[in-house]
This record gives sequence, C-alpha cells and structure tokens, in this order.
Amino acid sequence: MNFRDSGYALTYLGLAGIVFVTILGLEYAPGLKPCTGGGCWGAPEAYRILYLHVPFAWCSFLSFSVLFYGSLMWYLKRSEDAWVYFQSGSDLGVIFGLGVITSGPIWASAEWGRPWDWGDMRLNSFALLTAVALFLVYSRQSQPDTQQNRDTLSAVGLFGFALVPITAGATTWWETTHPEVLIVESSETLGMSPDIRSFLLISFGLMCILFTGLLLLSNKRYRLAAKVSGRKNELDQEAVS
Amino acid sequence: MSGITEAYIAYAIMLGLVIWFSRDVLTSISFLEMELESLSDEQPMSTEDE
Repeated sequence: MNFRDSGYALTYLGLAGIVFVTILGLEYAPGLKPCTGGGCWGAPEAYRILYLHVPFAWCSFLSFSVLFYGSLMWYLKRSEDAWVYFQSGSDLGVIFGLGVITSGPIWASAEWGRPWDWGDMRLNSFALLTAVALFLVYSRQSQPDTQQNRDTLSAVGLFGFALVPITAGATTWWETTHPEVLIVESSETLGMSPDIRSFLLISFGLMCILFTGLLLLSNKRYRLAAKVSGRKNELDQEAVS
Repeated sequence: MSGITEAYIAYAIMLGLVIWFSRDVLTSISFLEMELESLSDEQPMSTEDE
C-alpha cells in the first residue's frame, strides 16, 4: 500500500479519533474553575468547545496552505495535479472554516452574551477567508472548466492566502476580544493549565490525521474525475473520427 | 448558565461537518471508479451505428 492509498485508513482512524476527543472533551477533559483571580467566566463549561474549535482552526490554515500551493503550482506548471490540490484545498477550507465560524459564535454567545464582534480583526478576517474558499468552491462548480477560469480562480486563491498570516497574527498585532494565542505562548501564569494544553495538542494531532486522510481521498476523487472526463473526451473524439 | 448545552451543539456541528464531507468523498470515489470501469469497457459509437 503506497501513501496515496492510505487515505482510507487515515480517514477512518482520524474520524475515530475525533469521536474519542468529543467524548473526552465533553465528559472527562479537565474543567475550568468558574472564578479565578482574574475574574469569573460567564459560561465555564462552554470553553470545552475549544478542544475541537482550535484544532479545526489550525486545520483550516493547513487547508488554505494546500489551496495556496495548488494555486501557485497551477500558475507555474499548469498541471492537472496542481488543480487537484487547488480543488481539495478549497473544499477542505470550506469544511474546516465553517466549523470554526459556527462553533466560535456559539462559544461567544455563551461567554460574551453576543455571537459576533464586528470590530474584532481575527473574527472578520477569518470569516472573509472562509467566504473566499466558499466562493472558489461555488465558482468551480458553476463555471465551465476552462484554462481561463482556472487562472482567475487561482489568482483569487493566491490573494486570499494573504489573509492567513493576518488572521493568525490578529490577536497579537491588534487589540481584539478574541482570546490570545495561549497555546503557543502559554505558561502557567497565562492561565492555561498544562492538562488543558496537552489535551488540545492530542486533539490537534488526531485532527491532523483526519486532515491528511481527507486530503488524500479528496485528491483521489479529483484525479478520478479528471480521468473520467479525459476518457469521455477520448470516446467522443474516436466516435467523430 | 454553564454553557454545556452550547458545547454539545458546537461539537455536533463540527462532527457533522467532517462526517458529511468524508461520506461525500467516499461516495464520489466509488461512483467515479464504477464510471471509469464502465467507460474503459465501452467502445466508441461509430457514426454508422448511430
């Protein structure tokens, strides 16, 4: 079995891992103290969303990186394989992006009392990033598959990727209501206990397995679709000649 | 309110998204494999046959 064929095994393993994270995250993961020296949490149990929300967000950045790779390679090589990566990256960007922009506001409603903060750079740039991926998916499906359209969509993919560093660094560069980058910079003084951080990293590891599996399967789907389309063209040409 | 209900709802949405997408990709792959197999066996229809 080569690496490309391991998509099935990785996807099933990743899905089982995410179900495992869900059970642990909702029932057994370390909890927050309702009140600490810094103040009281509005909804201390809602923070459990973070165990899946944060890995989803990181995997969405991985998806947008795949999209960027596909867009760039399409410009450089005009190869079918680059377009396969472009399609998979945009699909995965939508799935993981939607997961983030639905679970985030659910947590915010419980904790802040409002689902969205229109003045928050990270929330808005992330929503825009997901909207770009959604636009690419719908455009691919609704427009004829020509080289000109691929060029246009790849340009959007390339420029859309500029939002990734802006979104990732937003909480560091601007004052936002979104929680800061606690996972990377965390120390015990910042309030994230090592247990919570370990659990988050395990969740991210399992999510990466699922992400890799889905990327391999999605690539397989688009390669097969290209073969089917090529074979249909061959048959049409043979019938005409 | 502790927020546990919101946590269950958010987990259901996120799990639902990845399960739906996995199912969609797997279904598409098996459909495309079948289609490719049938196209491989197919001979081009000549203009006289039409």
